[in-house]
Amino acid sequence: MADIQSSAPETNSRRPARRAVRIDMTPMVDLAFLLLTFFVLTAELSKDKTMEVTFPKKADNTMLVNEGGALTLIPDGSGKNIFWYRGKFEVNMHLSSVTVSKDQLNTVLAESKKEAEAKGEKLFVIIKPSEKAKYGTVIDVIDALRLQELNSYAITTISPIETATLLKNGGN
Amino acid sequence: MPKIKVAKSSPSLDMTPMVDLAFLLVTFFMLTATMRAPEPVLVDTPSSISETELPDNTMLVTIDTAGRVFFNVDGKDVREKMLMRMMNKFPEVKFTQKQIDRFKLMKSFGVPFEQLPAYIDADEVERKKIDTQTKGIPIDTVDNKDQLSFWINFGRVEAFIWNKDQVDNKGAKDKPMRFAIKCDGKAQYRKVDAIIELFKKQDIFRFNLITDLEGAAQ
Repeated sequence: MADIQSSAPETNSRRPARRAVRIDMTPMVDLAFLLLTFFVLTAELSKDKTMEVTFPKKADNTMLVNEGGALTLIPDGSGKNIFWYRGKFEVNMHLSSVTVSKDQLNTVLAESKKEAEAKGEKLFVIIKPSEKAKYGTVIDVIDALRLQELNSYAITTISPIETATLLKNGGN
Repeated sequence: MPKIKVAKSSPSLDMTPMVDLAFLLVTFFMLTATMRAPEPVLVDTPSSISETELPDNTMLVTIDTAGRVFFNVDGKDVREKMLMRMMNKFPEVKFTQKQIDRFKLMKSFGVPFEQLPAYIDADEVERKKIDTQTKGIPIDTVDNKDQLSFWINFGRVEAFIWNKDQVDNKGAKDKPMRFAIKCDGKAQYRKVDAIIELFKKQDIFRFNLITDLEGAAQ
């Protein structure tokens, strides 16, 4: 195994030749690899990834200029359904829902983006998590937006009227 | 049948280069490693495609599935000064010098200010017990019990002073404090929203939401 071989030069011919000194390095090497594994793994695990999000100053929509063309996404408490509508909110309007599975949501986003671009506008997305929405679902939605390179989005609070409409449409 | 003759030369091979390399790597990883802070609660962050790494000098608010809030600020000096300000604000809670010194080296904590001295004194086993029983840092805005806002306020003020001092007097790079939120994917968004509202009241609008790299968690 791992040995150091050191042979002394045979200068003195009267004495018997010295035997090569051999040190067994195996335990040291074992330890070295143990440490190596430990540090490699801890280094890998200690990286926290983050997502930078800026929140709007006011919770209401007054600052959203082009609400008319905006796409509103309402993640609900089921953890997979996302209700959405384009443009202005109307009481008792129909909300369509898509599942969070990337393809369905992506289709809606891609279509809305195309429509907005055809009009020469930039699509603005408003995320209004419902009362029971899970944090993970909201992150999924932001992720989908980033995939579509939709960089103008805002997370705001859902209003009671919207909650009522959401409940009527089968969300929670 | 004739016996197969096995060559009798010893199968020793020179492992020196490999060992050299192993130690080189050990040294490298040891020096670059920054110890991961022990977390008071286990939080399963949602996965995302974001690959941005969390910068240094952060204020971290951790929210677990039950909505309990834990708080952490980087930097020993900042922590000490922040605690001093808290002690001025709540003079009824007394700290010894030893407790202040220990607080400087601590990480996330999630107890009301009144219980903090006891939490600092606790050993690892006791702390774990407290962590499982605690209700987290109070965020109730009713009857002025919203301690988290005070922590945030004092923490950012001290971090700002510290950063300015580093830049002006020590020629360090400007590292403004970042505000990170680490929340369990199964926690209700409402809970996160409540925390964000507290930050917003102090004119903080930009956050680093901590996520797992997509695919890494599976």
